[in-house]
Amino acid sequence: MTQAVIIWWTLMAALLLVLAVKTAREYKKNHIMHTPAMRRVVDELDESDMLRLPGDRYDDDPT
Amino acid sequence: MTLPDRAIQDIDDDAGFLAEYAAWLWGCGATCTRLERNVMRMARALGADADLLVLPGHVELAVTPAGGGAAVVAVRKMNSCGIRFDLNAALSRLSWELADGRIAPSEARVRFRKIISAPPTPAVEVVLMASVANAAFCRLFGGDLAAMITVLFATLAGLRLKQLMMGEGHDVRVAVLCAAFASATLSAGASLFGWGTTPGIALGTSVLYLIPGVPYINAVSDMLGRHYLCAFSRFMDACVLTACLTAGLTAGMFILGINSSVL
Repeated sequence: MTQAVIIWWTLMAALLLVLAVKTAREYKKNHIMHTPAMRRVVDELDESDMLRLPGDRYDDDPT
Repeated sequence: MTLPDRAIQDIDDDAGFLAEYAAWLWGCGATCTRLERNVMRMARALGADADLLVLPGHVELAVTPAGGGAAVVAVRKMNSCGIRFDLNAALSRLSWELADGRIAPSEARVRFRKIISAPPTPAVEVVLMASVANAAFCRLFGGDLAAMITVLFATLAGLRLKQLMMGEGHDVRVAVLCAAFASATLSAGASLFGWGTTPGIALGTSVLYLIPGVPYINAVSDMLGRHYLCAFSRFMDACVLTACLTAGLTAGMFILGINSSVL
């Protein structure tokens, strides 16, 4: 019985952790990454060459 | 509106529209009989005849002008938006509005786009309502207050886990298995810690929210309507989900050493 109780608490802790992490990740995706302010930052970075790596090809790349 | 008034392009558009309508109606949980009735009704209102072939993965629709002529065939992949009764009701209402002449075909298309782009019920609302409903089920089966509270939290955790896994693109069968395992282990706490006098009922009813009831009912309905392929497909889908549910429940009971006699 003691062993089952230990397993139960372990599983509950794991479940709580998984739910907390996944919910936080979903919240971040829906409420932080897709806000107009964040989209503007991403668009600006996209338009600039800051994120361009050697060898990257873009639509406006004549090659 | 009859054939001479309408161009071939119109028939082409109608076939595409009706096939897409059928694909969405099937996806949100309508039976094949409902699909046939609604599509025929709409086709008649558009001045055409329609022959519908419903397959488990696709719908094929041949639209013939009411006055005769060559048929236009449209094939669409079945939509997988999940069971949504609000969408089902709105699409059925649309078919009647078009059939009764209350809206024009062009407006019906606009309304259709609006209906299918409407957001589903918020996930949090679904979790809360399903948890309360499952706790009520527990009471119906004779569970006491402690069992009801246990089932409420077991459903809350399991369903939320399922939603999150589905949102991340995991397979529905894996999500159901994990949700059943989570709910079963949580509700097994009633047996381990002696919460209330009906721990077995708490354990048994904690996974009821995962039973694919609509596919089972639709399978019977399709079978009665002689749509045997769709009936078998829906039945097998439901059986596989039930098997995943059972595996999750059994794994939880096995790990925690809960004897099946408590059920």
